[in-house]
Amino acid sequence: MSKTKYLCILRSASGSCETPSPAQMEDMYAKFNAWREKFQDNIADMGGRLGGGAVLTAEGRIDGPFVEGKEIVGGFMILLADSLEEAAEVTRACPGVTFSGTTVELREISAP
Amino acid sequence: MPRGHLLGHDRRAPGDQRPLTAFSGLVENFFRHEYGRLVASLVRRVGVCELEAVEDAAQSALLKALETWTSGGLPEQPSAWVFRVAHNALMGDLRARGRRRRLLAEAPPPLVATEAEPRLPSEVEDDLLRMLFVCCDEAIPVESQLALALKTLCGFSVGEIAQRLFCNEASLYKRLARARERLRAQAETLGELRIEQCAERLPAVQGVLYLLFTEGYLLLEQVAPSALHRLNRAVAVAEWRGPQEGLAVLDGFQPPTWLAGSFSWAAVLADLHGRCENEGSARRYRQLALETAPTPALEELLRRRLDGNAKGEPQPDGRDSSGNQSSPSPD
Repeated sequence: MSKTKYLCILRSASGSCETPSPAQMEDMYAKFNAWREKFQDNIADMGGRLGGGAVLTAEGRIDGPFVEGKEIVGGFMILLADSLEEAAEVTRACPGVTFSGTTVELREISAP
Repeated sequence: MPRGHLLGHDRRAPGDQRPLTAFSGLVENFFRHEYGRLVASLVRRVGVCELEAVEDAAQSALLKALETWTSGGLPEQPSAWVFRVAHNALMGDLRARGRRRRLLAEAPPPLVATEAEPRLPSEVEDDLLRMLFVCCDEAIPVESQLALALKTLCGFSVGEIAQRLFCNEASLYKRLARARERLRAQAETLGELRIEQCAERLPAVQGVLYLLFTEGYLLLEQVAPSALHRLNRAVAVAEWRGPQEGLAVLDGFQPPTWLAGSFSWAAVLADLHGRCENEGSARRYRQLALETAPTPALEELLRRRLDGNAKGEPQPDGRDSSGNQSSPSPD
């Protein structure tokens, strides 16, 4: 049975992010790579950080980014897993999502 | 399915099948070393007056590298990549400030237009050394020279420096700001560093270099990791749970001769014993630390730091400080 795709949406409380020092960056880089190596079969698309943009509606265009409540969608990735539980396990192990103030929404992408 | 990602930055040539997970190309301590190189190279290009903007640009370039490379893999030349990004960020910042100043009807600033031309390794070495001389300006106190060198050349954050220099973050922050301000004022009146100034600063530079090696450092850790780690752990434990617990870490520990003969060993013990009010031992180690200090500047720094402690620091959480000569053995 082939694995299911999950969309992983990262949200972080706006302004909560303190800039890491170069030494901390080194650490994050190493941890992130270790995670990536370990779960390479589960990572369909590393996605990335989301920048500014626009919302298009029938009435026209509204410029972004779009802050809903106190949280902002900061990034996304697409995972492959046999179950929601497995996808959650992979996500929890990801160093980038373990900062406090970050929440992750996992959604199954249904195949046609 | 392809493992490429949507946001670009994958600089592999078409048909290149090397996996994106080939991250081994990044040298150890890349981020910290590169921070110092970026600051030094950019300061040479735009002047020390813009030190703060340069530091911001270096920081943001490395952060961008972290984000980009963890999702997209390494570029072919990581150093050149971060330099270009930092250079662009700095130019953008200077331009924006130039515009703001013109809007406020001030005289237009001389916009330094530099190119992000590639740096030669020898040029980077020169820039680093030059930056070290810039940090060792006699107009700023010795502790600030060291703090500034750790910040600009070694890429330590304010918190990381505070931890190493045993001072609090807020005061270190102010001290760094004052030091940058002094450098800016000096550069505006005196212009660029002259050769005779470099000669005058040589002793201070040597002192700071020595500290750079012992405070973080890398060289000693490679030689004998466990002994130095033990000493570092003692310092960390002392900060965390009080000086007596710090001493307990070293209780019964026989340092190798290179460490026992170094001023850092004596200085740590003098500091810990002083804070425990073990006056005899504190005096003995203080004397040893001052005798083994490699330069007068360093000796002066130690004298001030250790004498500061001797005036009596509050014991954390009212821990007993009745002055037992030796600490209970660790478990």
